[in-house]
Amino acid sequence: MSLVPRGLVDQGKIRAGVQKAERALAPDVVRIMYAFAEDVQGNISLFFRIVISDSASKPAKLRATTQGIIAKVLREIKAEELGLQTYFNFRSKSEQAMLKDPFWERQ
Amino acid sequence: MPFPNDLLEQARHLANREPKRPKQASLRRAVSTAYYALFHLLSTETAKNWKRPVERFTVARMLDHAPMAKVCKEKRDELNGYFKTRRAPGHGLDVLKHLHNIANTFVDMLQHRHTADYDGAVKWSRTDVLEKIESVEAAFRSWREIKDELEAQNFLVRLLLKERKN
Repeated sequence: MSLVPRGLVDQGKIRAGVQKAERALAPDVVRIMYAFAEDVQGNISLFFRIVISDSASKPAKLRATTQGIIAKVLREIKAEELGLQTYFNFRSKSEQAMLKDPFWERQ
Repeated sequence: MPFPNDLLEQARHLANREPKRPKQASLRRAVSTAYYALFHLLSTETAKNWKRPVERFTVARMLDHAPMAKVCKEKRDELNGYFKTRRAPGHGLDVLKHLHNIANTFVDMLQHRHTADYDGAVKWSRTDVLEKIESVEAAFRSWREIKDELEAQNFLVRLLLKERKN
């Protein structure tokens, strides 16, 4: 169930922005998922779960990779205009294969 | 700043403690420790401005997580607006970008620390934890660059502010 009242945020625009970012960031990005939830400060926020390729998650390039991904996603969803807090979590493709976490699979 | 630096080093140690299959306990503690490294960096730096060293520990204890995050969020949002005005590049802008990085990292890490400490349903990966630690390391580097600047010192004082009821 969505926490965000319909009409308050254009969820279609967010979905389209995320899809555009996902396509543009391939093959470093395998998939991008997100959910609305309340953060620790009580703000409705967007929580991103992003699976990245094993090569993109190598320690030497991890920070550059994730910074680039975050910037692109924020640009595409026009985060500032939405006024939503955003949080990002990442894992590599092989880590997800090991963890088999359904929350990180596309529903 | 031996204590905040030691915490950060400890976070990395925990994240890499099990070479093959990291334990969730190690990863969770690593995220939490990385957050506390940043929290203690800011509280120690604030307390350093107190004249008498013997009372600095007590001053540091005045800082509280939620009000600090509120100040950081406000500073970050204020700077986001300022950056949109396309200010000329230079030292002043660099200082503000470093400050933005510190404030933004604090807001993020408070949330991640909360998840790591209290949400047992969330599984962490080493990649994610290392990314969080690297963000705190970058915030430490930013602080080293700007700690003597007026903007940075003003930010520290604001971290002590709490919402007044009247």
